[in-house]
Amino acid sequence: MRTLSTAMCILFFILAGCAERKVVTMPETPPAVAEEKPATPAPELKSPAEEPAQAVETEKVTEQEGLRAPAQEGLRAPAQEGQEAPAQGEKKAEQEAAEETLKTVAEANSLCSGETVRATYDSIYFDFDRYDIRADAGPALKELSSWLARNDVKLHIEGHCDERGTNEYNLALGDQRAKSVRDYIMSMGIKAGRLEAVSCGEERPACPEQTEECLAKNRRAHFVILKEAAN
Amino acid sequence: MRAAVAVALLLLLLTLPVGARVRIDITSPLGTFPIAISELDGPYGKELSETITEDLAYTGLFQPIERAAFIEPPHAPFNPGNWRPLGAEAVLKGTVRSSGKEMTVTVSLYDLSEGTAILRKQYTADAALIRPIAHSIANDIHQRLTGRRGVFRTRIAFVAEEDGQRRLCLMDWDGGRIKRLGPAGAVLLTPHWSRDGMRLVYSARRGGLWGIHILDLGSMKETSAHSSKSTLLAGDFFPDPDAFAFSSSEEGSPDIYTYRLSKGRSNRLTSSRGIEVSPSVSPDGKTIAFVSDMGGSPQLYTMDGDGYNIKRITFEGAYNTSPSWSPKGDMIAFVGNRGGKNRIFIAAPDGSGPTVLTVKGNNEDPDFSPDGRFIVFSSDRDGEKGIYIMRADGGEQKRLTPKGLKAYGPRWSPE
Repeated sequence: MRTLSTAMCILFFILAGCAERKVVTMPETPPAVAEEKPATPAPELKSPAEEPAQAVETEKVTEQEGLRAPAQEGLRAPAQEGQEAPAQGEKKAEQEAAEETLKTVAEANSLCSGETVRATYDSIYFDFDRYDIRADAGPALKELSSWLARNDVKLHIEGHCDERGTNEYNLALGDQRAKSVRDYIMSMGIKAGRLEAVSCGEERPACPEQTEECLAKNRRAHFVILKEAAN
Repeated sequence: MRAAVAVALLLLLLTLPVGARVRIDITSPLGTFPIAISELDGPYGKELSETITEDLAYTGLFQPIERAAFIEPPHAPFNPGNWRPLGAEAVLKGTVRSSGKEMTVTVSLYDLSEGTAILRKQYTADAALIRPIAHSIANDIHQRLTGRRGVFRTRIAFVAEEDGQRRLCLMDWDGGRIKRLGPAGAVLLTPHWSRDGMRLVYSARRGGLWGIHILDLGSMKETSAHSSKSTLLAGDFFPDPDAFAFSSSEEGSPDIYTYRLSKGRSNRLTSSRGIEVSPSVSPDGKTIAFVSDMGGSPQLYTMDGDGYNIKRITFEGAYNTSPSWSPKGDMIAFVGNRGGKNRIFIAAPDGSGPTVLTVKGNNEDPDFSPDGRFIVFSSDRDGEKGIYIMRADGGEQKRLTPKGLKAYGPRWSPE
């Protein structure tokens, strides 16, 4: 029992010593700790107002761990009112080396850009936060399906959302809209391999205003006829 | 018996920071603590003092005393009699020396109730790192007076749009020192930090392909973990930096998966016909909060880390998305659409006590600071989307990113 409590005390001194690191020995150190700590004798004070000859704590301030490699230069943020200029002074050579590894990935992307390769069919529309095919979209989808049956092309179906939702959820919602349309056209006898469903979320509104009329135009499936199907 | 007492004593003492007396109880502060931040004597002294003052003031725990009232000039030695009439309880004084590219800042923090220095510290750094030095000093003051470290050296990762491209960016907690981080993408979404602060996981669409990418902040190299033609949306890391959660519609509708980097393999957790998206992992890694429309509208749910035990937690409003856990796991911040506006809410993990924190504009992407005292979010209240912060009670909402820079998807770094 005695050995156990002695061991506990020793453990305590070790841990307390670790926790303290090279912190300034302060005159107001709680007595409970100061008395029980033979490793760090209480500083001799001449008077309370007079500072003891303290070992001054030091710190080398650097970029955070993991961020020592310089990131790219500050953004060309327009007019940073009242804010400091973006970080300068990072070493030029290191910066260039970093930029080398951070080369912008070339964007060869026509998705969600509104570009069409040949022609496009009219969009169909959805209710807010819904992805089921509305009755009024039926005739247009049937006509599109029968056109696809006669023309050997590939169809991109883009699912779009109005901007009222949140970004990520809208990407999922756009996904479901595009897939509803794909499933509908497949059920009309068109092969899955000719249909590609993609989500554009709220990224590409067809109509920029905040009116209900405009938002309704943005909740859509947009069609892009890509190319002759390769079969 | 003696052993039991020793253990109890040991545990009690270990919970207290050794050698420090807490002057501000962070959990229930009795008003604000009046502190005087004297202009540091030397080059950049004013900028350093101002940044320290702003850091401390924003917490709501400190009441910095107006500099115009100061009696003692920066170069004069500390005399408690010059500060007591101002109502200060602590005073920061210090000097700045610079030689070549390096600068040395020496500060003393005095406790006026005892007239002694409770912090004396010297900071050396490249002169370009003035703001980090100021933040480090503010952290040490916060530590000495509250017993807990401040978050002033933490960072916020976010997405910014420039020339039609979206990029990952990083800035200090106060919006200072904005930097670009990684490659661009036509679509690039919220980055999520690994718990060790060494990696970010995010999704991007490039060249018609969705990818989940990992940016290693040590080497600044990006690696691709997973790619697909279907929509891939990265979620939170688990406490183990080898695993993260994400959503994918590869197997039909968007569902929640986990991914192990070392195995290069994903594991599906949900399998409804509807939408499951935005997984947020609890601090202990045992619970995942996510969004599902299985009840007819997007609502928040929680489930165990293995996909079982699914529970709906939001019942008010027809649109609740974007969950994010507090660092203690006692709160979830989320976006709720009420009256046509997206607002930031917080609630307990079982959904009880939902509290709205924002009124103006549409607000999205909430995320807690590592001490749980602040929330970063994006808002369009001033026009184009930008990054804002507020206290976790909704107070002191302020913009961090400059006007004219479209920015969103903020996530606060660990400490």
